Amino acid sequence: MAKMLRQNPELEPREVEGQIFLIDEEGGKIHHLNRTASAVWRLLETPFDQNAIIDQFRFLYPDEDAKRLKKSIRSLLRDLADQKVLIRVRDKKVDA
Amino acid sequence: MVRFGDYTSCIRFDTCDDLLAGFKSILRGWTVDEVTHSADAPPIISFSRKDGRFRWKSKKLPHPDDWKRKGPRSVMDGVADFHYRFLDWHALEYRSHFCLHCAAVEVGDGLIIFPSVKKAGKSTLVMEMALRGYKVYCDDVLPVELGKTDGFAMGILPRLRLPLPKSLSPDHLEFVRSRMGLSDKYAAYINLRASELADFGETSPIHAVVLLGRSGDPVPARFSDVGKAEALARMIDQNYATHMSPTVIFDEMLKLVSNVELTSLEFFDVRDAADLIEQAFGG
Repeated sequence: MAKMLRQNPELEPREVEGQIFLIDEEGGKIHHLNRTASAVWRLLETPFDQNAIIDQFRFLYPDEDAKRLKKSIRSLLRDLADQKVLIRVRDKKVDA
Repeated sequence: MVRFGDYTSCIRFDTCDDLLAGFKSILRGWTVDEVTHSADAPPIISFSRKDGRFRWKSKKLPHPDDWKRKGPRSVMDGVADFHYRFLDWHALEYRSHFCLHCAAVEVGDGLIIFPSVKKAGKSTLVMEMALRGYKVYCDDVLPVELGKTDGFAMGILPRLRLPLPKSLSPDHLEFVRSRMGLSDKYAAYINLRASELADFGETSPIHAVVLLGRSGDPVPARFSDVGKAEALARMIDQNYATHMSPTVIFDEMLKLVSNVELTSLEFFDVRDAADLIEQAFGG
């Protein structure tokens, strides 16, 4: 089964001037997402494979160095997953 | 047992009068009274001393991290560590208060608040404003009542890291040195006079949020526009423990940044920064 990422549904998003804040009522925290993290959050309204996310960013930023972009998006996804802003899910459809 | 101000719970100081004297020395506008022990109201914290080290016992307030293995020996360390838990205690006593991690100074007829950022020059600027006759509300945490935009003074002396930067003006250095309170070689509480520090419980409306940015280059101080989102992002401090719902805190902070002036202030020389603040908000 492929690893997919999606928004943590337990977090309540609030948008202020285009920037996203996520309220974690249970954890007693408020996360602020920077521009790139906000774009990832919006993209992951439906589950996405990590490679598909990177492809989306390559498409959005064609002038960026592909290797560097891949590395920074991977690192961002890892951070967001560590903070439980994103959660990992498994999608049987992708494997089928 | 000792009661602090109008707090309902008390603190026990067992064989550590010097620690109590240290706490008293950093408080302004507080009544601190010895009270008779009441069995149905256990102390929120019991301080004692063993083998020359302070010990902390409390069911409601966890001991400071540094006390996990061994408590401190010096009064300065004991007071500084308790100082931070004191704010948690306040949050338990005043359940209608949420706390902003910032410094605040009354300029004109309201407060200018400076959200905390490391090495942004916040403490130095606060001291420069005090030197110019403005009243300091806090240098670290400002409680605000839910539904209002008035800052509430904790009446706790500001604390500066030592040594002081050599770049400060002779006036500034003299002002600070003449007010040194409880201190060690790393930090000092600054014993501001009555007119220079708001007493516990004084309130004043928040008029502006100023995001500080210390420049490494000798640039003239200047204001820049700041949006609500940027101000909000800087004010949200995930590390500040509170009993309050983050949704409530977010809504209150959003209300605050929607109703006050927002700006950023980049500066190199603290005197330039203070000049600009006086011109902009001094009325």
